[in-house]
Amino acid sequence: MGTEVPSSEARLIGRARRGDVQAFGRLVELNKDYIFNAVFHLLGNAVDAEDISQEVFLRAFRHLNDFEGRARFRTWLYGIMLNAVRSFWRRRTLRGTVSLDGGGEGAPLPDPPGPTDGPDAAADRRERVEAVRAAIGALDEESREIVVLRDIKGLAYEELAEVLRIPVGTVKSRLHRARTALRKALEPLYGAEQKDGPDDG
Amino acid sequence: MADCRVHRERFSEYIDDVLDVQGRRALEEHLAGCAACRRELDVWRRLLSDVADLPVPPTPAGLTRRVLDRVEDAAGDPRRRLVRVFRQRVGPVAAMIAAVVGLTFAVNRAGEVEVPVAPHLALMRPYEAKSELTDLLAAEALQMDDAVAGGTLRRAVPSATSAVRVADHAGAVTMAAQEHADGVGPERDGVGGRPSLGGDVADTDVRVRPRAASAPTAPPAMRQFFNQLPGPEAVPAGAPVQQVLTLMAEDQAVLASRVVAVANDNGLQAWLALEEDEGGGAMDLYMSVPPERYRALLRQLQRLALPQHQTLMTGEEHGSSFFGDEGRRPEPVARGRAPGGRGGGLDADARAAGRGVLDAVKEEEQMTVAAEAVKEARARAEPAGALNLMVRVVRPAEE
Repeated sequence: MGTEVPSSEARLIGRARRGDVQAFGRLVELNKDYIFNAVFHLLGNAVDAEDISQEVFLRAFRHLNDFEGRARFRTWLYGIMLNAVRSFWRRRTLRGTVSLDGGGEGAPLPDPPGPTDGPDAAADRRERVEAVRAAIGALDEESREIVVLRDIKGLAYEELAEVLRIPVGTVKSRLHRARTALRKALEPLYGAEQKDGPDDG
Repeated sequence: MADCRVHRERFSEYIDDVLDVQGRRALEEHLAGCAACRRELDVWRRLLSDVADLPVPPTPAGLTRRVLDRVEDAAGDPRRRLVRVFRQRVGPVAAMIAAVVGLTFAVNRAGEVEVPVAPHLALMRPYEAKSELTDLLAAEALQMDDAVAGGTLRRAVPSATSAVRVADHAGAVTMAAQEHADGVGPERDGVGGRPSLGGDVADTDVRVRPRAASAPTAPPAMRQFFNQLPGPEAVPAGAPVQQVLTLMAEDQAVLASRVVAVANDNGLQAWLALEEDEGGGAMDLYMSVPPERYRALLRQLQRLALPQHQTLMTGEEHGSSFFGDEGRRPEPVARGRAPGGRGGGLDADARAAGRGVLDAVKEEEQMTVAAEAVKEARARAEPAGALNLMVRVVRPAEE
């Protein structure tokens, strides 16, 4: 009935630590979209993404006492997510299942299409989306992690350093490498790299 | 121009606006005079904005609910839950897997065989058993008793090592947990620190290889725990069986593991017994169920097999009116046969050798812990008014 006192994240965490499942539920609500989205882009399909998202929050609940409050809660969650995703990748490797990343909702993605100038803007956009998604899925895992976290989830460099547990300098170089790879993979879409040309003017 | 390449190296930082003043000025001066680099920078910007705009499917409705459902019974102390998960969930399942894996490989191969445990555990992916087990096996290998859950580990690891016990008991194999440091975030990145952020340690392989006749190769730390676990021998003899649910599946072990998982999800322990039947082996899983959960549990179990592949009858109809009566007392897994009769080829010498090792291990340290464990398990098995259910998992008849 009464208006709910705006619960600060810290208070929710405190309550969840003492076993308050409802408080933890609020924390899940506040963060589930971020986690699910990131996992979706890392794994390329919604079924595994839901699975892993659940696992992330279960782990978070279990290890709530390890959260020191130094970083943002969400950043801490991203760290757990990364661990969960990496063990998923490892398990899959061990199982020998080669699943094509980027196969969103079960439908295999087509090869990146060539440049199109079709009249249908919507179809054009869809092709573009699928090509970009496929290119991200084809990146090596290290590159994919950083592209998803930076270019899709918009984490700051410091947060990336925290989540990936690497120095900020490494964040910069890894990100550059990943984006360059992405650029190269998407040449069919954006055209080949511009050749060094003579100065204009 | 030769230095276009150098300037393009800075695009990434330039776009993110993290270049220092000097670097930015240098790049901008170059851009002012180089159309190719301007076009290339434009491509980078478009590409990254396309990446940022990628659509995502909506977060599945009910995700929060499903998380909370799984969290709910852990509302108290998560450590306590871990202990429970281990004793009830991983222990029996690990033992069964070990029996299946161990016996099959021991018979079929003479040389060293490596059995990655993950593929088998992956069968239980909908449940938590796998990650918990591998985490803790790995944790033990790293000797990090306290890293994940404090006092929990010491008690949980024995459950996991029941796999070792079973395999060893079978007489032909020993297993050693081995931890792979690869792929663990901090280590891979060459940065030290705590094991990991989320408690995920590493995947674990279990090596299965022929054991030298005289030297048991299981680490002493593991052997010390071999006999702490309540095994099938802890099933209370003489408890009346109210119902017997028979399920049939080609892949008997998988189905049995699902039965165990369902039981565990309901907070129940299941004991496994292997039994030689006419032709194929049956896997009998015993569980004591609080009356209020009985119907729901039964429904869940019945969903595991097609209607035409299952029967439900009373204990009396089935002739198994008591847990462990009339010589039906469950045998410890390792003394039974591998499911489906596939393990029948273990030769007597190997079996005897296994017993010898086990006897050597059975010293007084075992007597006290084991007695306690059995007592505890019995107490759990006979809650007041519980209904006893036997789930028999069989393979389809060959003919």
